[in-house]
Amino acid sequence: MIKDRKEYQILIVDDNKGDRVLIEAYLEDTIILPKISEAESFFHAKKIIENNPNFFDVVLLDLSLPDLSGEGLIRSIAELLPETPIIILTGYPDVDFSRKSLKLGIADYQLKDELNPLALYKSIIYAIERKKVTNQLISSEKRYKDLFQLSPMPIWVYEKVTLKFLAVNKSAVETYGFNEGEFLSMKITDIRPVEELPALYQAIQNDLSKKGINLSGVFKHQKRNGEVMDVEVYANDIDFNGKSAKIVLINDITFKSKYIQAIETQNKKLKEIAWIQSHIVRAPLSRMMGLIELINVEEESNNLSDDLKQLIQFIRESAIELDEIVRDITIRTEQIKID
Amino acid sequence: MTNFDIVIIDDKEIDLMLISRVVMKFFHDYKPIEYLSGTKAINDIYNSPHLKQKLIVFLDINMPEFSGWDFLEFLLKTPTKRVVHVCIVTSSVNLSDKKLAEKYPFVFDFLEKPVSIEDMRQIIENQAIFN
Repeated sequence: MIKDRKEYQILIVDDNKGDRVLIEAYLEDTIILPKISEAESFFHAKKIIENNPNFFDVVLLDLSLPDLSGEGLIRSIAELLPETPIIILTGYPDVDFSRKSLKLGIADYQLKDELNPLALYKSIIYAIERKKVTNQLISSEKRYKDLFQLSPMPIWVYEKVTLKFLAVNKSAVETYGFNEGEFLSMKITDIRPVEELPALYQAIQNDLSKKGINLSGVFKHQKRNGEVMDVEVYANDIDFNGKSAKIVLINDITFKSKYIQAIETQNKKLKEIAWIQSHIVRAPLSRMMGLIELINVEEESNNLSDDLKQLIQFIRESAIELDEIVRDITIRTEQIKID
Repeated sequence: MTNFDIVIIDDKEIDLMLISRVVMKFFHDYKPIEYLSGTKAINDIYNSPHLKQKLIVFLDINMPEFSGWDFLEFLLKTPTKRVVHVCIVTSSVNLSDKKLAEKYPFVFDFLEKPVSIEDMRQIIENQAIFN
């Protein structure tokens, strides 16, 4: 038989020396280089594990040790080595307990009497590969949880029928001031000023006909301290633990809204200034220009001295210059437009 | 003699005088009728027997209490037996005012102050209402 050339770090925890020797012999039958560590008790195993964290590929565990046994033993070892597969080797067939131990995260449950080298080898290889997949699943689940929890923007999930919060992230807790427990006992109606509720119900009604990601709209939300903020709300359908729910992302636009308001006020003032330029400043100016023209066309103007004609001409030019300035200001202010 | 009366409405005496003088350059023996307020003018247009059937109105826009816009609105909503043509005369160089004036069918022109003799000549030569 071809032996496995890979190097395996194997921890055998068994108080029976005879059994340990037998297991080692089985391992050497199928694996060229089994690196075996032995422990006679839980206490001993604990010491070895603590000195070599994340070191073992697999643990072969006897269920009854002098200092710990059964479920307590399984839990304790699994806690010390959460990412390492554990195979139970026991002398006593107990179908109920074997089933239960699998629920505790045990990779396999083998009876010592029925053990042979190949069965043990298969059990180890399967356990290692299965654990890899499980670890990947756990870490991918964690990644997604992190995406939700660590998002810099508030996100929550609420149940469509009851409007109750089902999950909230850290940013939501920080932004709104309610802790997670408080959030989960509240409805989405509880974070709005009363006068905003009709708009919310309307939005929920509109959402029924929408599918996929959509901007639900701009709303007013109220923090725990009573402060009201303007928010953009994006929502999408989600099945959350079997409940029909919405996942919602909140964008605080309070600052943006205030900024726009300030610009609008400023723009209005500018328009007023433009109006004043156009109507008030230009009125007396146009009169001056009209008067100067009349002087120039009256019969008597021919009798004026050349010197006086020159002065009138200067007044005329100055008035026209001022008129051009006023027109320029009006045109510039009229060009200010926000689309 | 003309078959129409020329009416000038402006809240400033100098403006009334300036427009009057320019008008009089073209109608030598004719003195336009001047009003310092739009309400007074409205009253005469609707009630006075002394005005002719056809009126050509030079109307200022920016007046206190009853503005040129108020005058135009009143004219739009209240039928009169007289035929009224309006030329807006304003110191405003604001484009939005010009646009606003276009919605009144009886407004035939929009002049910026000062109204020059050349402006008046063009109006009189080009507008059939002066015949």
